[in-house]
Amino acid sequence: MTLILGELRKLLTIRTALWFALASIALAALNVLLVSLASGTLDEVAEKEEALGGMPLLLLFFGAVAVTAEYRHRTAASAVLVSGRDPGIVAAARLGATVVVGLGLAVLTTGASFTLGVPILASHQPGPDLTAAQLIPLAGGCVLAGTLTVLVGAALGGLLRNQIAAVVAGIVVYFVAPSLIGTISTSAVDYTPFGSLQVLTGGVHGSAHSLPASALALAGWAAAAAVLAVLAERHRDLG
Amino acid sequence: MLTAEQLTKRYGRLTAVDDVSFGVRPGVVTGFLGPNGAGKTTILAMLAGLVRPNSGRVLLGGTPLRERPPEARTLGVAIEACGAHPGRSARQHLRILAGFARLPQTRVEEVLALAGLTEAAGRRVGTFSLGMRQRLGLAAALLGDPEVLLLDEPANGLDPEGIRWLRTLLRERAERGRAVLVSSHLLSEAAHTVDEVIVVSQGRVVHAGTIADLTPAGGVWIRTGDPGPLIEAVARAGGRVTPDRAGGRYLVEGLDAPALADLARRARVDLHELTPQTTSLEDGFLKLIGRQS
Repeated sequence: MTLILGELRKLLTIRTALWFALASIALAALNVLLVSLASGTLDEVAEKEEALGGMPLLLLFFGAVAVTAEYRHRTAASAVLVSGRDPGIVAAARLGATVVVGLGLAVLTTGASFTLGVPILASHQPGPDLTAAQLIPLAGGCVLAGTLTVLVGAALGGLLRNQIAAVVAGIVVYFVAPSLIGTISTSAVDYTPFGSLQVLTGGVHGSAHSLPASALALAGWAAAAAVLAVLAERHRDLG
Repeated sequence: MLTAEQLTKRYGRLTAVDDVSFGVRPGVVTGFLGPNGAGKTTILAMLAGLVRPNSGRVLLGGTPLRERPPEARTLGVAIEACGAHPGRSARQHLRILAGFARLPQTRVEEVLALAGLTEAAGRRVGTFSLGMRQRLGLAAALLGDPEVLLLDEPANGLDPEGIRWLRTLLRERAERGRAVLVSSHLLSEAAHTVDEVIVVSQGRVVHAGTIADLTPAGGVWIRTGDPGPLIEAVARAGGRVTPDRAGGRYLVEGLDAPALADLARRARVDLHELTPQTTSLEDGFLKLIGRQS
């Protein structure tokens, strides 16, 4: 717990989280405004849900940037040295703290998107309004997708220890890999991190996968990346 | 006591550190000297437990680091691998480290005062000069009042007042029975600060001993208007005389300055110069490094 609190303090005493929060909220707001007002008629529930989905991918970059900053500014070694703990345990605490901050960012982003989008969709678009029974799972899916995406980004950052490499790897995992997998099996795409995220945020219509299945798939990817990052940290030098 | 036992570190085909063994004793400031690329930083990182040796081990208080990882109370480290985020204030940085080490937050103010950073503690580290960053690194290393202190080039960027402060700090720690290992390329500064030196070159320890071992006394330069009687007296006393034609001086080896003064007085020769020839630490160091390469 001491380690997680320390890593949380680290994240909250620099401006990275603040800038990403502002950028994520601004992009989510812009996205929902553009889709709700300028993309034609949205008269189906699925179309309206898609408009509220936001842009959780920016949170992928938050995870990557937050964790790689530890290596860029050489603060990862200091934490290990003063705590006397195994580097892998410190890395796990860092991922945990990043997820906690990521959860906050996901809540803010989703909140901004829903606060702006729901009234606009109700007043400017025809068709049925979104009900609480539809909004609550969607909001939960968006928050979960954003939080797990932060963990994927943070794990990639921990594995690669380089900001640019981690961001590029994130883009490859989320955008390039699904395209390649899609050439082999279309249904498998829904199990990729991006495919799962799309289901959770209502970005894909008529998916064969349920929200829980997609949540499990994305959680599996995030957990696997986190375990790899922790194991790698245990076996690599910090100097 | 910090002990390196047969440390070897390879990066691919390059052997950066080759079978290095030495000890850092309590109550002693040990200098860690070597030319650029000698492997000093890698050795320091291995001593801190941040870099794993391919073979060999590091003992801290007689226990291998793998069994007892260092923490703030046992090992204070200010090396390149340990930094501070430029966006945090010095106080925030130290408070975070104190939290990791479960040290009281009051200790942060103590080390800030010790490092002369109290007034600047609220400023972001990114606005600090190199000297202030060095002081912050030292403050972080001193947080747990550790048994052993490892410092990599701590005098870099310090002004003369800062260097004097550092020298006093290291001496005080040694007097309190703590062990200090300090790397430096400023040999004249090292000569003022350290009791013992470890010299590394090409990844190997080439000297471990006192400063005096590195700076052996040479002969004595003499100048006189009537050298003949004195040269004869020196030869009778077992000394060797080498003339320095260009300077009009003579280098006497095998006799020290007081003995030469006595000989000159008995031979009724007026001495115009009587200068012991000393080897500077720099000369001794370069001679040692030159011999290795």
